[in-house]
Amino acid sequence: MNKLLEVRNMSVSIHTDGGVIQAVRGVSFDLREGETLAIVGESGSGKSITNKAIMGLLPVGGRIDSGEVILNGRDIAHCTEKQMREIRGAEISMIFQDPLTSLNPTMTVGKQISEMLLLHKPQMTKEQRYNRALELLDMVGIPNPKERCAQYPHQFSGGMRQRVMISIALACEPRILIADEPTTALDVTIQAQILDLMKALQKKTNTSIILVTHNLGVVSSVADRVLVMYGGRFAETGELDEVFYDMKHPYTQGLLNSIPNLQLQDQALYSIPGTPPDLINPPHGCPFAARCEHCMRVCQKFQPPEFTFSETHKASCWLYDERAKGGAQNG
Amino acid sequence: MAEEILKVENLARHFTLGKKQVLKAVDGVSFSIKRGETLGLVGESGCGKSTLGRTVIGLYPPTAGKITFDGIDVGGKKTSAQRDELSRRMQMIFQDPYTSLNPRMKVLDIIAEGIDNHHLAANRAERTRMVVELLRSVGLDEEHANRYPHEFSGGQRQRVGIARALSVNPDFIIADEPISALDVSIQAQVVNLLKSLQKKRNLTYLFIAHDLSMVKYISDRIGVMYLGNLVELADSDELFAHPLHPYTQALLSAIPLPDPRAERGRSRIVLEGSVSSPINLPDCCRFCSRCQSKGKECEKGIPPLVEVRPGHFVACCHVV
Repeated sequence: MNKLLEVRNMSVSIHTDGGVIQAVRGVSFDLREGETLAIVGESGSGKSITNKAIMGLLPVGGRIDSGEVILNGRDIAHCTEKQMREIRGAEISMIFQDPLTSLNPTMTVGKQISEMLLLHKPQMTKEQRYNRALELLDMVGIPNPKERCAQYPHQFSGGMRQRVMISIALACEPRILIADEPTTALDVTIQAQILDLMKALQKKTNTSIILVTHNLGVVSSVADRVLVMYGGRFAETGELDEVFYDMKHPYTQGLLNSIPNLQLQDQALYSIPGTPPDLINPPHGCPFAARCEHCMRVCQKFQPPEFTFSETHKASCWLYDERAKGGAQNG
Repeated sequence: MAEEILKVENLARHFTLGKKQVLKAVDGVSFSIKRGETLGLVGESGCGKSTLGRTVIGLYPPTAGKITFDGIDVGGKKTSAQRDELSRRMQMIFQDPYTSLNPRMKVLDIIAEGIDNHHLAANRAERTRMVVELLRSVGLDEEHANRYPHEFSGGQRQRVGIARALSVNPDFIIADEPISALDVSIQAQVVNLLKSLQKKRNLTYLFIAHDLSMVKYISDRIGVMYLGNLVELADSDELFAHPLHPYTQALLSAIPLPDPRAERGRSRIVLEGSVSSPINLPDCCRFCSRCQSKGKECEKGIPPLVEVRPGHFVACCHVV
């Protein structure tokens, strides 16, 4: 399959008054045509910053220190703002967690959709833009698009607003859609509607989706591949089934075990002890070492390399080193 | 059979929004909780589950109906001794650990506030000793006592919130979405803590949440709410195995399972539309605008909660 987007060894730091946060440290992944890649991790794992870096939307003080983001054979990590503006919306679009704060409250929904078209397709006439907006609203399942087009975001419910966001993001038919926790702010029954919509639209338009989430249920219902991040680094990546049924990294194991299984009730729930690392002074070795039950001496001192289990399945953990085989059993 | 510690009968809590608009947040809810039991309360945002919790503990006066806690009428007239007893024996844990702790108070004083109000410590040394003991029981250290809330992570703050609730030795704790603001790996820690504290101190919980898998794990019985009404109430295993109300069925089928193989084989009931506004509701089954098996009888008023199997209550015209 064709690689649409390649992130190579990207590191991102954010300069704040409290110190330099090393939010992402050497993350690599690629995105293929028509697939959904889920990036999973806790708050502070660097999953959102990774995507903001791709989009060139880092917060003040944030910058890409090293690495490349290759889109169609071109490195966009060091593009100017003007060049980025041409890419954003046309080639990569993003939808955010909170649809209320990411829509403009003073503009009608129709106008917000047209704005995107105005920027990227200046050859379209006003009428063509209006018709395209109606078509988009209809595509994302909003009833009476004509009436809704003239309404403001506050007149929409949470699920409907997220639909509007999706329609704006897809207005110029981008090849990549980055969805940053698109359903976290929504109720379960609305979440199911939005996930169904995203799946249906992907089938129709063959858009590749990067889905950022911490909800493993959402991951298992929509993703094709999974990338697990922890403490700014990549922990494990693989096909959906590989990560869910043959997880290698102790963090992935812990994460999956700490969700209550609908069957068991009496046993204590598995929980990962401790808290995520401080990224201003990140640990030298594996970021998960302090919370890992298989932690060895080497884990605290050296960052584990990538170990490959299949063509698609990789994990970064010292347990899979030849030399650790005996030690791991002894604890 | 254990005794009932809390009994809620026909409870309603309405908010007037000026003019003639009435928001019926809770409208005719009845249930009871036995000592040592955990009742889970689930529903989507705006279904009134938080309002119910706040009314039960007395933060809002009820519009109608009766709440009895161990013989004391929570919503009625109380003697000052009864008021003291209620505020000591019923405690609450809030959703957002960032806004429910006073940023200008040290953790020691936050936790000791209840101890001071109820004069549970004889002197300063005892007060400190009690707080340290509480901190340890929720998995924090003595040294945390002199810090301010901003120095803690979300999970730790929630532990402080739990310690504060426990400081007055309550029997009954209302936990209003205590884990929603936390990360998955931290959620499990807090839920395990709540469960072990329940065993040690024989606590009774009203656990309000929207994450059904967590609720199933912690609760003995679960109540499902929709637009101010309790639509189904049953043992948690029974509810998950045989959901009877169409809304419960849709809700259960909408949770994505963290199991790709099961997800592929699943057919999902996707509800149309969204929850209707709770302002000036019509006098019919609250779910009927989204219900798939809606009929004429559904418009004849709000169906009562009926026991269809031992311990399994449903409010739906179609399930008899």
